[in-house]
Amino acid sequence: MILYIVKRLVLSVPLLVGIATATFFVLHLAPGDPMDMYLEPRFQREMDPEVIEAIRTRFGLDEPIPVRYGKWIRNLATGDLGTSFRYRRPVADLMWERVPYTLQLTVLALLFDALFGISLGILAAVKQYTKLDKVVTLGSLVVYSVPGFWLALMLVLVFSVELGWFPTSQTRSLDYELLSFWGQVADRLWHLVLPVFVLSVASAAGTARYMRNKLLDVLSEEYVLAARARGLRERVVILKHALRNALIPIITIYGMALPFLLGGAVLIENVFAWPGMGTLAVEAVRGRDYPVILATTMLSAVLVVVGNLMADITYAAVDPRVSYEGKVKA
Amino acid sequence: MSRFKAVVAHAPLVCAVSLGCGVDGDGARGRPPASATLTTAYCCDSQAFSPAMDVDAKFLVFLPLMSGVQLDEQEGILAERWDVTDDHRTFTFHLRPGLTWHDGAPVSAHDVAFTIELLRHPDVLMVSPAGVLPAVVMDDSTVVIRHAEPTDPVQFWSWYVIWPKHLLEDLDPAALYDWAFWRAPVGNGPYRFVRHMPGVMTELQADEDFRLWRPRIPRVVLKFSQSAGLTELLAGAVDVVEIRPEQALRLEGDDRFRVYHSYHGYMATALHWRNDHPLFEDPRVRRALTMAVDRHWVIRALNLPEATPVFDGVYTHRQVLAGHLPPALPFDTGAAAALLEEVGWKDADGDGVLDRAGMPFRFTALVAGADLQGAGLLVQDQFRRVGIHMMLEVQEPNVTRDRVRLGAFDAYLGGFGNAPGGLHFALGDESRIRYRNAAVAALVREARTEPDPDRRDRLYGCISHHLHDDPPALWLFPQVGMRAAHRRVRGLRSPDRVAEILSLRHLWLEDDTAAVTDPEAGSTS
Repeated sequence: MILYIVKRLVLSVPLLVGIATATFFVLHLAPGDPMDMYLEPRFQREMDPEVIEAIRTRFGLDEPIPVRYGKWIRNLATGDLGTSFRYRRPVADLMWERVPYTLQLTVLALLFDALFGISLGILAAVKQYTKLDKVVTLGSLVVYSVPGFWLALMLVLVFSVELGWFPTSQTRSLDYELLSFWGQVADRLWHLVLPVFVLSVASAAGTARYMRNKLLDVLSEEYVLAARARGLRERVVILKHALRNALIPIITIYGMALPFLLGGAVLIENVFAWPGMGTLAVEAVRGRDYPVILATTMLSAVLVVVGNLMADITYAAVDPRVSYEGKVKA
Repeated sequence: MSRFKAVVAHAPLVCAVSLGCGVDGDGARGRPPASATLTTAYCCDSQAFSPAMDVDAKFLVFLPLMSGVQLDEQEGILAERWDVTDDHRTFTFHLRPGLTWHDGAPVSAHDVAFTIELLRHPDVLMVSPAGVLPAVVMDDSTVVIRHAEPTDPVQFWSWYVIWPKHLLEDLDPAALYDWAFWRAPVGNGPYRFVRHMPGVMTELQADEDFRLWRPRIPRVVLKFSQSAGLTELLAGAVDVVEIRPEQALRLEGDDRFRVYHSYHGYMATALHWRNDHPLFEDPRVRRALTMAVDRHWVIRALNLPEATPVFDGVYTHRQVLAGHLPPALPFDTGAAAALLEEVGWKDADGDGVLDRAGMPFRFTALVAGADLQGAGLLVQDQFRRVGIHMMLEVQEPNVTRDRVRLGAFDAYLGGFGNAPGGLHFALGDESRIRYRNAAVAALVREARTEPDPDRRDRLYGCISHHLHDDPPALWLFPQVGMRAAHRRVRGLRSPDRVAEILSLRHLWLEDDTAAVTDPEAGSTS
């Protein structure tokens, strides 16, 4: 297994280099100059042209694009993500500050998705054609169709503005530091409720529908009939025999879910003023902050690779036919 | 605590883990936070005081040599007075005696010289080292600042604040933007830094030893929730937020809030013509296009403040604040049609579009960003009524800027920069809209280096006089900034005291249950 993981990681290097190269050139060939923001009259002053030229030189923007690429890829290999044009700070520091906030959202959203999506899918499949099945099927279809940002705004208006049950934004209350340890934990969770719900509810609805359909397929397989014929309890038939097989396509979906959730977090973080990667990425794109855009894109690419690798590893745990030891089980 | 109880009562998930959590002041409907605190939805997180972001929060903690950022009034702040040489290149600032940093160290001319040296540093470059020469300290309270070009000191030294030499001189300028100092600054301004919660807020407290004026608001919280500003205001989590014109509609009829508006000192929204384009090269056509658009109607349709002025020409910051904008050409479709006919444009084939020598009056206007699409559609509709077919191509502002730079456009809807340093991009020798008017170009050159604000105003007036007959663009409205504030925030006033940070010395807080009788109050429309 370890050999397999190492092999996959080594193979992912050219993939990441390819993504990095494509992103770099697309970004630098796109219209717009990061120095333009200095030419806009911010408040009442403008930067002197010679200052702009000096800044351009310092950031290497006066060099040909291939030279910039060479330097960037060399620095990337050493873990140097460069300096943000906008914040004038190392990109790695900015990412280090922001990533934990986004991880809070995305990891909890994944857990919520798995917990509710899979559970509801199983329930709907087991109770096929009952009222519960219809409610889950229709409900998941409706939820899946609702745009995330609209749902976020509606939930904020109802549960924060009108009812006051949850905070409108941010990660903590202003008096957070005065709270007890458990108070702080509760405060953080309280702030997470709406953003995590919005971020995960659509994907949970999708998972529920996949799960229901796949489980129904599996339940009609001969080996399930055989298990039932052997007199096994229905609970054992479903959870031990059918579910493990039905989970395989779901694992594939989860392998891609992390970068997908990161994309969703861009909108959700904006609505909830959540100081994560999404907000950073949006600001970077607006300001042509190349080093930050490249770093956030690379992070997404790494997440795709890691997500797929984790999915492959999980296959082996779920499906006894899958082995990475060089042997194929019958 | 009541808010928390409500959560516990209604949300089982929170109930399970909420023991000991107090959450007052962060979400009660319509109730502002603690009565002595102004909470504003702000940007920039840990860099609110850093020169990297260079936003107005710095004026709460640090002082500039003089004020003028907001009102263009020449008032000394750190400087008690200043002398200017005849060539407007050398300024001798005499600092107020007895001013101290928040740690008790005296503020001196050495701090000013140190700050200028830092601003000029090759790793910092906040000012041009060739434009601002090293400052000379005459004594502890006198410093001489020299510029390479004639300079208006208010334009320049009202924006840069002075930093404490004794705390920063040993730090590496190359890492200036990353100094921990900006996350917990020690300043000399009306507010002291109290605490910073990353990603959440920075709290400031009025400095009891501050001598220049008495801050009437004891505590200020910069809450980093700008993107959620309006919902934060509605939920009572902040007192003041920046809003968009359409968001003002949501506050209409809600007597808890007041809406204020200001005009961007140096930026207007305009439909720029490519002045050497065959359609627009005749000034009469450009005048007719201006007269064909009912700009008051456009302003109303975009929900901009009713008081938003209509004008044709350029203006300084002082002029827009004083309401002295250049007069507008009238909205007169009959006169517009007559002018166009005079040039040869008439609807010969009866298809509703003017034509000349078989060519229809049809062009494409780039729209710099989706935010301006509404304005573009309204102007398009107005042009259609006089037989002009304008197509719209909405592009990202950066793309529009590149297209304009390359001359790949017929017309574009975007910002018209009025600042002396940027006017030449529109009207001067480097005109990106291909505007050629020798008299205007000469005046623009003169205005760019004119240090005297009164004379600069007059030069702008002369430029506008020329532009009246030979307009390079269709000016729609000055760019409008809007703030919504809880009614307990008093002292805000449209259009000159709208930015709450810059106006803070004039603001005070009142009990939110009191009747609003402030004659300076804004409106909810």
